[in-house]
Amino acid sequence: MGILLLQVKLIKKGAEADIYLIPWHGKDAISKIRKVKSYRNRYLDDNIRKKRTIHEANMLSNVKKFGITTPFLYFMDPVQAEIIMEYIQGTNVKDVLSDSIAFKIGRYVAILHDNNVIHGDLTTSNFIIKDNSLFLIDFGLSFFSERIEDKAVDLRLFKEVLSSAHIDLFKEAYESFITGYSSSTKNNINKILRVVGEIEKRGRYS
Amino acid sequence: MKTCDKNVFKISINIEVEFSKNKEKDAIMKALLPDNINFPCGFNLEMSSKKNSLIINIESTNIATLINTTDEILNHISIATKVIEHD
Amino acid sequence: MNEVTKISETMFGLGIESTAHTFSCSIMEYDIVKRNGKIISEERSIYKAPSGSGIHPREASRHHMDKSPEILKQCLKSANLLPTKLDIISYSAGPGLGPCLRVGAVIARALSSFYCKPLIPVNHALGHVELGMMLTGCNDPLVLLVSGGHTMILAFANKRWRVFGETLDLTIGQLLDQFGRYISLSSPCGNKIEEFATNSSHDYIPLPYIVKGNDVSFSGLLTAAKSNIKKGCDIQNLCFSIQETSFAMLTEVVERALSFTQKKEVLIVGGVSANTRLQDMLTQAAERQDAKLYSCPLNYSGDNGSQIAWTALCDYQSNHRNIEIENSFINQSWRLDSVDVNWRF
Repeated sequence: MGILLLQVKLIKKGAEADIYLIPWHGKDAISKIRKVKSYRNRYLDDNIRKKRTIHEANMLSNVKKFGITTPFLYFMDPVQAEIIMEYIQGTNVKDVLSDSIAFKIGRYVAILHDNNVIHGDLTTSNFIIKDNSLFLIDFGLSFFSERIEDKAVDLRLFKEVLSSAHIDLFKEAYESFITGYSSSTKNNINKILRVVGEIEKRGRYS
Repeated sequence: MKTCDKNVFKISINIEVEFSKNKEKDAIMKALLPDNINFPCGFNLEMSSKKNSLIINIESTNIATLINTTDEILNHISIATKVIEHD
Repeated sequence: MNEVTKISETMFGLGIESTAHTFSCSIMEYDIVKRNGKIISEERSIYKAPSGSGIHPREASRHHMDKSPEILKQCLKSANLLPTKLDIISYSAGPGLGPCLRVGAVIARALSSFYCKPLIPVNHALGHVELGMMLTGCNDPLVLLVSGGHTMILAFANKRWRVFGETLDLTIGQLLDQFGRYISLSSPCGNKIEEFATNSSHDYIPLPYIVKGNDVSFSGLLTAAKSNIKKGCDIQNLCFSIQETSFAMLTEVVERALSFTQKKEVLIVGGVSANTRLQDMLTQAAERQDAKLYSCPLNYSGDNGSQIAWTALCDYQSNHRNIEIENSFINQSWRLDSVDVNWRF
């Protein structure tokens, strides 16, 4: 037991979850544990952590059917809010964002949306690039929906991330993202982009 | 004036505000002019000056708009004048 | 023709705030050498809507027109300054309610023209942020702006305050106000709701918790809260639950933004920042991310003329430019992230 603990390494303290590198049946794996947020009401907190853990575990597996590359799911414990999954040794896209990666992200989002999956947290730090393959991690806020409004919120979120955290690349990256999306989707992106515009007008004095 | 629906009437109000000094009249006119934009359909407003007087012409086919705008302008003239008054 | 500002060590700026329920005038002194400011005087009057109803723009503007000459006079008197001694005149040009904005604009233009002083239009939201930074002394914070008019998470990059997250529908101030009015409180309702929440038995009633990435959505929460009233739920516990849910949503997105940006300071500004439960939650979240929470002093967290004066002084010092009175605009939906901020790096 003592030897096992020495092999557990904390590799990231995120806002929501702690990510550990652990041994799992002879190979390296990632343990993602959604931490208790002490500032949140206990009932609310337990509920949120459990729901997101279950969601994420389901989605990680389900989206593979559509051709999205995600880490393999090994184990899930909703009470402890823990997921154990495949360790992907790549680079976080947040640190290496480029036009071509933005294009790939666009394609992935289009595939999700065409299958009525809303990611709910499209930020660059939720993607890993390894040997030119794009991995999508973190599905905690995802849900199923056919509504254009929900797809628009997804797109707008990504736009917001680009215009705040990646402002230097914003124009080119966003264009590549939209091109990637349009090239992959069976639906009309222009309808969704119109709703994005409408959402952008809210949240302030009208 | 933008014409829209068939109008039953058009009401005009002419206001003349005579100031004791030209400088005061200028300040008030400058304070009010920038907001004379984006008029609704059937409404027009023009401001001009003559010696120490500020002349305001308002035309409207809608009584509520006429009353509200006239009310606001007169109030604006009042406060603008008060803030530049010397004790 | 505007008088050229003489070269001296200090500048005096008058700020006029009138975007919504508050009419306020403030005079600030700016030390050109030290590049810091001091509030010399600040006077305000707040329009109180009849209980159960929201702010009616025309009624609020009547209040502003009624109170403004006296407020301005008091402000000048407390500062012991004549208008001729002012170096700049500034006003909140937006965002806000049209009739209310026009009151401040008209007064500012009249003063600017009569006394030949440079006129500076100021973005109200930017005012909250800049004054908050000046009063707390933080350097490069993640900012949470929470008021009736705004709910945004901001960080400064490349000459502008960038939006990392915001509300997709109602602002937190609108959520609290609309719920408050539904239970016949008088706007602004935030204080009373906080009081009910604190005095409740702290029994949590489940309400929709909606976070979408870095954005939040409150309209579902409001609908659910109202229907809970119809079901006869205890009002105090409901107020407690609304706060616990909505504030946790905001705190979560702040925590994500902190983790993403790795900033070590969080600044909270805007009227709702006065809420102690929200401050408490944010303090905990900041600590989790090894950051420190700064909150705008209570007196200046709500709308006030100082936020306008301070921002105008910074702007003028940096750009030495003012607007021609003919071009002095008001803009009801002026976005904070469309404003260039040249005095910050």
